[in-house]
Amino acid sequence: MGNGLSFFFDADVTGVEVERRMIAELERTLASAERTRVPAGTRLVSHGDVVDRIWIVLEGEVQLTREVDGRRVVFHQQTAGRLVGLLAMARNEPAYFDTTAATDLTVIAVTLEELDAALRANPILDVHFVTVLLRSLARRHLRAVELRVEVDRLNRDLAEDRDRLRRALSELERAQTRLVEQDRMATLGQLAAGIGHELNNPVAALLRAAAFLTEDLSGLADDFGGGTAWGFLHRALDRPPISTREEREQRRALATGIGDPDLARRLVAIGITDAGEYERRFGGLAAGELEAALAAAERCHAIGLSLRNIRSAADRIGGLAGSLRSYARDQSEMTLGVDVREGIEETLRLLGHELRGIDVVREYGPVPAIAAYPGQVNQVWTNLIHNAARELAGQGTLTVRTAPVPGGVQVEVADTGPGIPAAHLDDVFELSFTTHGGRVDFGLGLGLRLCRDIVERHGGSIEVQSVPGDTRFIVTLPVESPDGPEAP
Amino acid sequence: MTEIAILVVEDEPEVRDAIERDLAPFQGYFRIEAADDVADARDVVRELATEGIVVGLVLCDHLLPGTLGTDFLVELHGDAATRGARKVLLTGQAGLEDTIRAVNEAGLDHYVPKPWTAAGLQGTVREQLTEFVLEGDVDVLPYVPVLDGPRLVAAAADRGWEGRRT
Repeated sequence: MGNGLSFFFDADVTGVEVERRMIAELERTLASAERTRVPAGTRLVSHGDVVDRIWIVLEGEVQLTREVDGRRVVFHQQTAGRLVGLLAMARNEPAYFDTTAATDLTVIAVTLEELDAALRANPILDVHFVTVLLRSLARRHLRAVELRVEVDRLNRDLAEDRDRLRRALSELERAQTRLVEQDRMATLGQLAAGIGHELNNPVAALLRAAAFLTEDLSGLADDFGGGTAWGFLHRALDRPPISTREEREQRRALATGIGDPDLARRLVAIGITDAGEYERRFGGLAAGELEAALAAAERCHAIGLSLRNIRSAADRIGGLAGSLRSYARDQSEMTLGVDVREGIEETLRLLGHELRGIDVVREYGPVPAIAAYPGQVNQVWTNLIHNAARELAGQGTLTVRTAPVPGGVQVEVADTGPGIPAAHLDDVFELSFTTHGGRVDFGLGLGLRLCRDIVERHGGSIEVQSVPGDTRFIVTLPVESPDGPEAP
Repeated sequence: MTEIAILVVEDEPEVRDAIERDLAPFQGYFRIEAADDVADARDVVRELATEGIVVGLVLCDHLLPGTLGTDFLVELHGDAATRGARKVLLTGQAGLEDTIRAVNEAGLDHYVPKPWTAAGLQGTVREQLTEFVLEGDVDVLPYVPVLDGPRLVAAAADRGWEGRRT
C-alpha cells in the first residue's frame, strides 16, 4: 500500500489517514522535527501574512476565522485539517484566514526550504503531500458549498419570518383600529346616554310650565269674563296644523269673500277662514274698534301658538332624549330578551332628520327575543339606515322587514336607491364609508365593516344584494349569542 | 307699496311660526310668505310673479323634505327673475360642503345658524333687504323707517331724491 498515484483516489483511505501518513513521512524525512507546545488562543497566522512555513498540528484543533463587519466569523474548525498554511503557501499568496489555536496544540513548524528539501528527498512524501493538498482543497470546497446551501436556507427562513411579521403587524393594526372604534363608540354611547338623562329634568320642567301657563291663562280668561279675544288662545292651542299651501288657499278664498286681501291674511292667521265667522265676530265694528279687537285676538292667538309650539318642541326633545337613553344603553352588557324591532324604532326616530321626504315602510313580522348587546346592535341598524337614507337622498322608499328564521331573527333594510355597483358588492364590508355633510350622526363613519364585526360577534351573518332600485342588507342574528349567557 | 316679498322656506311649523313672528317688524313694508317645502316655495315664487311682486329675500332652511335648501337656492340663482334675491341659509344642519356649494353656486349672501336671536335675524334681514333695495330699480324712500335709513337716505340724495336710478 501507499505507493503511486492510486493512493490519491483510494476511497478506503480516509483524509485523516492520509494526513497521518504524510506527517509520518515528513517527520521521518526532516532533519529535525522539533515538537512545540502552543497554548490555546495563540495566533499562528494572521490574515495578510506572507506564509513562509507550515504548521503540522499533531494534537489539538485550530480555528480559521476572519473579521467580517467588526465581528469574528469562524469559517473552519472541523474542516481546518492538520496542515496550517499549506493552501496559502500553495497559492503563493498572503494568508486569507486568521489561524488561532482553538485548544492547546502540539505542532511541528516546517519552513518552506525544509519542506522543499524533504519533498525532493522523499518521492513518497511528494505523493502524500499532493494528496493532502487535494483533499484539503476538496474539503474546503465542500464546506463552501455547504455554506452556500446554509445561506440560502437562512435567507428563505428570513423571508418567511419577514412575511409572518408583516402579516402580524397588519393584523395588529386592524385590531387596534377596531379597538379604537369600539372605544370611541362606547364613549359616545355613554355621552349620549348621559345627555339623555340630563335632558329629563329640563324637558319635564318645560312641559309642566307650558301646561301651567295654559291652565293659568285659561283661568285668567275666565276671570275676565272669557272675552272674544281669549277664545283665540284655545283656538291656537287646539287648531290642527295646516300646510302653507292650504293656508294660502284659505287666504285667497276669504279675500274673495270679504274683498280685502290684507285683512284676509290677518284673519286666516288667527284661524278665521270663512266670511260668515268674520261677520259674526267683527261685523259692524267701526274701523278703530275692528283694529283693536283684531289686535287683541292676534295677541291671544300668538300666546296660544307659542304655548303649543313650546309643548310640541318639548315633546320632541323628550322623545329624542328617551330614544338616546335606550339607544345608548350600556354597550358592554349582554342583555336577554332584546326585541330587535324596538332598537330599529329608536334608530328610525333618532335618524328622523335624515329620513325626511323618504317613505319609511315597516314590515315587522313576529320575531323571538334574542340575547344581544343592544347598544352594539343599534349601531348596526344605525349604519344600515343611515346608508340607505344617504342613497335615497330625500326620495324613495326605505323598507325595514323583520322575520323569524330557525334559531334566530332576520332583519332586512332595503332601499330603492341607485344601488351598489356589482364590482363593489364583494368588498362593501371592507370599505370604511364616511358620512357626507358633517351632520350629527350616531355611528358616524363606522362603516359596514364594523356592522359585520358586530353581527359576527353575535354569531350572526350579514349579506347584501343590490340591483338598481333595490338594495337589501340582510342581517341574521341567533336567539342565543355564542359568548352570551344562555337564554332562559 | 308692498312690491317686495320675503320668502321663508322651513318645514317645521314651530320653527316657521317663530321666524314669521320675528319678521313682524317688516310686515306692512314687505310681503312675507312661507312655504314648508321646496315644491311649495316654487308655487309661491310663481304666484308672487303673477301679482307683480318680486322676491327680495329668501330665508331658507337646509334640510327640507325632497329637495335640499341649498339646491333650491342654486335653482333661484339660475333664474333671471330671482337671481337678484338676497339668499340666506337659516339652518342648524348644513355642512361645510353644502355651504360652500351655496356660496359658490347660489351666491349665498349670509348664513344664520340655529338657534337664532330676534336681533340677529332682524339685523341680517335689514342689511340684506337694504342691499336688495339699493341694487334694484325701486323707490328707496318708503323703506327708510324699516331698513338701514341713513344708507337709503344717502343713496336717495345721490340719486337726486328721485329714489329710482336713472
